[in-house]
Amino acid sequence: MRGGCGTPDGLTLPPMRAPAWLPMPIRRTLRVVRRYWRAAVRRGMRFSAPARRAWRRSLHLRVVTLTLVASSLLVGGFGWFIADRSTKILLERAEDEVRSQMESKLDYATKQLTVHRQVRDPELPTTINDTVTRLADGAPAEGGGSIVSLRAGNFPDLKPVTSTKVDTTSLITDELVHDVARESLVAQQIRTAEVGGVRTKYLVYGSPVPTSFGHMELYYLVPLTTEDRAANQIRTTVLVTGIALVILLGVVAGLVTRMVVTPVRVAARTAQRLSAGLLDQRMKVDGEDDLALLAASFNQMAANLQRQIVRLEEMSRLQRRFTSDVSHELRTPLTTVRMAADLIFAEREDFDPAVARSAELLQAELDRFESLLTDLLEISRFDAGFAALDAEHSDLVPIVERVAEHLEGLAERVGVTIDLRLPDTPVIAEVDPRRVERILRNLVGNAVEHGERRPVEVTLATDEAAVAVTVRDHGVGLKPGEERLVFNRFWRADPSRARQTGGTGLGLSISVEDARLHGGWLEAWGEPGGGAQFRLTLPVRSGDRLVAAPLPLIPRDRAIDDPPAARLAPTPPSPPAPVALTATAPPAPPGPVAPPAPPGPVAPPGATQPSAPPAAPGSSALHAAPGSSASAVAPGSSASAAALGPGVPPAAVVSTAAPATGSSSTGPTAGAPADPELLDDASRRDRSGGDAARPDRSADAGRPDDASRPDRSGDAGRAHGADERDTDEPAEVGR
Amino acid sequence: MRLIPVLPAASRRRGLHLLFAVVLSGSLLLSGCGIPDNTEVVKVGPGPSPGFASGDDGAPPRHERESTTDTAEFVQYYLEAAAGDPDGALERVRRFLAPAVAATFKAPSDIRVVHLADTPLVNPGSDKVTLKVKTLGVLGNNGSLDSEADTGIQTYELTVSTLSGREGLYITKAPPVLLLSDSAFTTYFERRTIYFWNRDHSALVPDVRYLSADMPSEQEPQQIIKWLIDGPSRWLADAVERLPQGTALLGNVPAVDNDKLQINLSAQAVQPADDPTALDWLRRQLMWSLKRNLSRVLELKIGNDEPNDYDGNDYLTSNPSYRLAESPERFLIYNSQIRRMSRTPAATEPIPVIRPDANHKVKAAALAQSSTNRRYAALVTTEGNRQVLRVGGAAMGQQTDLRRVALPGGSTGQPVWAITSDDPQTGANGLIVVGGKLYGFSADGAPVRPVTWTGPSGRISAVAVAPDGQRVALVVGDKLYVAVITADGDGPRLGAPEPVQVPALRSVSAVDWATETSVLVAGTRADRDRVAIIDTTIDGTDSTEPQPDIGVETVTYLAAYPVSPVSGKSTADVVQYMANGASFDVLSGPVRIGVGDLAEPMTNPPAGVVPTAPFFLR
Repeated sequence: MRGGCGTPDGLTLPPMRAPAWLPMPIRRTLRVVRRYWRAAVRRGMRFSAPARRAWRRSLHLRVVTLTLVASSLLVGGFGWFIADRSTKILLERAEDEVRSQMESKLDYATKQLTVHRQVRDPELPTTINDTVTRLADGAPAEGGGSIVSLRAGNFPDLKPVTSTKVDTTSLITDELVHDVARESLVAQQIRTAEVGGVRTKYLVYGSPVPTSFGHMELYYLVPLTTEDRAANQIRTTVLVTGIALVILLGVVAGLVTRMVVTPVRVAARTAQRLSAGLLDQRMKVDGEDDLALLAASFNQMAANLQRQIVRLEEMSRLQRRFTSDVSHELRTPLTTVRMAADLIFAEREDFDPAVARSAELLQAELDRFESLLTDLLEISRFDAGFAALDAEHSDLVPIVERVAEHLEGLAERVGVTIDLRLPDTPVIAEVDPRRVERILRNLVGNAVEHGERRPVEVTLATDEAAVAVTVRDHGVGLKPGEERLVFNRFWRADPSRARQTGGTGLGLSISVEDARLHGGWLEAWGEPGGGAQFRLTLPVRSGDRLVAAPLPLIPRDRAIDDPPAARLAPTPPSPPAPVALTATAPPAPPGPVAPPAPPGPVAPPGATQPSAPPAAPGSSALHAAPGSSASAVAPGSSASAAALGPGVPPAAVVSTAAPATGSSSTGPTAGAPADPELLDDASRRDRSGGDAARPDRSADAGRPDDASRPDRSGDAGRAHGADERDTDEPAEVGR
Repeated sequence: MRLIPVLPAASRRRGLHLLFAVVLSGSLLLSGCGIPDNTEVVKVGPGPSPGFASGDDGAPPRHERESTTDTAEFVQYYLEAAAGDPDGALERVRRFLAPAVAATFKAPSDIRVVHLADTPLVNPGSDKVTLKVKTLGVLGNNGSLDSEADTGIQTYELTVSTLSGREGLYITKAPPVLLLSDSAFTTYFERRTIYFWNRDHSALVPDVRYLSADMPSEQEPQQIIKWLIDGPSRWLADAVERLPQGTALLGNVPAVDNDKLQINLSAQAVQPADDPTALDWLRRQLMWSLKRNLSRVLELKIGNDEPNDYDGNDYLTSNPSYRLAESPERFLIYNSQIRRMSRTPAATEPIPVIRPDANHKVKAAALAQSSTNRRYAALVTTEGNRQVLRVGGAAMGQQTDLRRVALPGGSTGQPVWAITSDDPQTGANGLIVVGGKLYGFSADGAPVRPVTWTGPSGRISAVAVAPDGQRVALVVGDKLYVAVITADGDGPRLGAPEPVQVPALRSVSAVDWATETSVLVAGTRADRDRVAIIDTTIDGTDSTEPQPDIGVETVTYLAAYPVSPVSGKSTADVVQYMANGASFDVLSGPVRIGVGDLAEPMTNPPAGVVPTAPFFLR
């Protein structure tokens, strides 16, 4: 039988099919029966669901129930044994007594009947009567009295004589008569009958009585009233005692469990509150027992945690404050120095060539210093959560053109051409043009800088929901794993390499923050020698949630180069399927840790909904060539977080939900309780950054365990499971 | 969506349900282990081995109506029909009657035992049969044959004929009595002696009963005990003790098993309760009464007491008949002196009780000994022309002076000691016939007292006392009677006499006891004028003729020494009588007792003096 209490919710019963050889009507009947059975099982499941939930959740209930069941079995078995044994003993005693009485009665009757040689002896009935009277006189009169019956089953002429006027047909059964009269056996039987209006149990004992003319039968019927009463009393006593014992055990188990469970519950509740940020929550310590020790240890742990968190918070705050303050404090002298330097620079032609050269250097470094300071201040604003989006409907085409134009000079210097692939129509989106321009300037500047004299392609595409810009270069590319590191503050692929553009090392970090502020994505892809590509994806309407990007992260040429991928997936039509991480982490280090997050979890309600749209057929975004690395590093990912400060759990990486309103002050600890599993998963993901399956992985955030394994990531063929993916899976990203 | 209970409530309810289920299952479990209402038949083992049907005790074959077509034989069978179980007698007799007669036939349930005075008169050609009978007695339900007043010869008329369409003979007219011939009576009945204690429990008194020969031997003890409980025969009632009121037989008396006869009597059988003496009396009475059925051990259970086992023969002494010597001490009167006879025990011993100087002028004498061996003497001596009685008693081996008791005038018979009790109240009592009347005397020398005779008037010519001392046989007016004698402070008294028919004798002249239930009588034969000595039961139903013809001289005195019931002898073997002044010893024939039979040889016997009045130490 299937089903029952143990079947988990949502169980899908395996199809039961009647064997084909059965005739159709039977199969049809079986089908109906099956249907009803399933309905019954489902209904039973539904009704028992609360109980099963209670069973799963309440240790108290489980312990009490198990104790009751176990003790009931034990006490029941023991009680049954006691009652059964005592009844047997009572019965055996009664039987022994009856047997011995029967022996004397039999002896007497036998002797009395010796005087009759023939069954036709006219005195025989008198003797039978007298014998029965005499035998009955000696019988105890208690409990309705025993009955003596003398019969001659083999001599129908002799009427049976019974000591009392009782109908003994139901007491002396035909089987007994057969055994005694025909088989000449001594036999006994217990019978119940209504005698004198009282239902009485009798032990009926029958024995043949040898006579000269054959044998007669003596039946001795002894009421078992006393034994029955005693057995019932014993049974009742055992039952009452057993029930009392079981109840007592249940109560004791309940009390004991309660003693243990209550502090555990308190501890759990306290831990929940602690994890929710109420760091001053403590358990009450009562007594000196193990539970008190638990509470004390818990409190100690909580105190240590609190102290550590406060210390880290303070450190983080001090650090940010220090950065901010230093930047501000440097700006004033810098301005003075700047003015002086400008003056010197303007007058350089009047100086010695060597001094003039120094003035030029001074000027250049001051520019650099100033831009660094600006970037630092910008970062500080992000960290402090003061960054605000100044969104307006803008056409992105002129912005891109302006950026290209702005970097034209540099490009020429390094021998790089910037190819713009822009749509003919304006691309209007609700963005902050200043920030978008800064992002693009950073990206294009980087591409030009690392372009290795090869063309840099800037592509702009849009669909109804998103706008994407990819910047592709054909330089040295990125080593596996570096596509995540590029967004770290002050990170450099090759520290020994000469700076040609004089970048501050904060550009991509600020860009990520800018993209995040828009609720967009900024991702990188690259492979050694194959160049790199960065993709900026922004929602058309500010506050909308991104689900896909109109352009692939991995360049089409790289994807097409890969024969298996090409084989497996045809070239996608435009717009390509999105492959980016949906996660956009809040800024890690500057985020205040502990505010109790009044606005609720960071993730807006939409975040818990399926975040991956149905994969477009042949989404080429997945078609990463072996060895290539695509980074799905979202803005503010753990890499950048790690770069700026400890104390931010890496879980921030998977934190998603581009906050529409850009409540960047929301810390990761506010909305996302530290889920060890998720943490672990996140760290794993960090470690395995850059594998080819990353986009797939990120798109399928609802299955955190899936495809995170290296072998999986290396297998492009398998990674291409976009169209096989079960898109119905709910995403649990929003936790 | 239906109401989904809140979790805690649900769990509580679930707990309650669980508890309820546990309690329910527990109670169900426990309810299964009481005493079951009904069970299968449990075979304990084989039953006791079945008994074996013992064969009949050789009961004589019975003759039915169809057994013969000869009228004489038919009548003979008819006179047998009443034999057997008294309860079925009427029915058995009816079977001989024509159906029409049988339907209306009525008769007293008592069976009249008759002696056929003549062979039934069957006349060829006539269906009338004449029966001439003498009633010996009436057999009651208690097995006792009670005599009736002598009515002489009675005549009954029968009509014996065939019925058309039916086989065999029928009696179409019958007298309204159940007749049983004495020959059938002796054939189909067995004489049993039961015993009752005399009043002072010094002796068991025999009571003769008749048991149907059909009765299985297993049922005999039961029947005998019932008779004992029912009480003694009518004529013995005055002299013997009944069993205590309320005595009853509990259950049957089982057949003897393992040499043991088990009797269970009600608690009232021993009065006062638990009195060992009374119990001993009872068991002795039972053992004597059931002597023939007693194998070895009597197990007597009184009420619900523990049963007592009795074996051995110590009970035998309770019957004085048992105490009778194998060979009696014999005495006679020779030359007015008591002399011992030769070739008898203690022939050289002195005469008991009587001093030698008192042993003269003796005409007749009687010596007796009590159960404690105290001896009594009664001498009839002559004083001038009067006769006086001298009585005395002494312990064994001692002699004493005799007391003189005056006797009334008249011919004096032989004195006999009847009750020889050591109880001073009762004392030793004797009887003597003087002048055709019976007188009683006692050992203390009190004057003789006449003993009232309540029977038919007549001259008492002889009296004989049975060994038990309670019954006497008397010859009154040539007829034989038996009666009981009792003694109280006023001397012996005689109970109602019971006539004894002795069909063989026309007149009886002398009597003495031969056994405890039979007497030897001498008298003139009924069939011819010769004197015979007949041995007859004291109810006259059975008799033998030890001396069918001893001449024509009337026997004036007969003395026999009864035999013990355990001796195996059926009649006395020492019998002596006097006829025509001479004494005879009855051996195979009468042998005259002479001087040579005296223990002390007479060297010079006086002429014309013969030994007379031989007697025994009883």
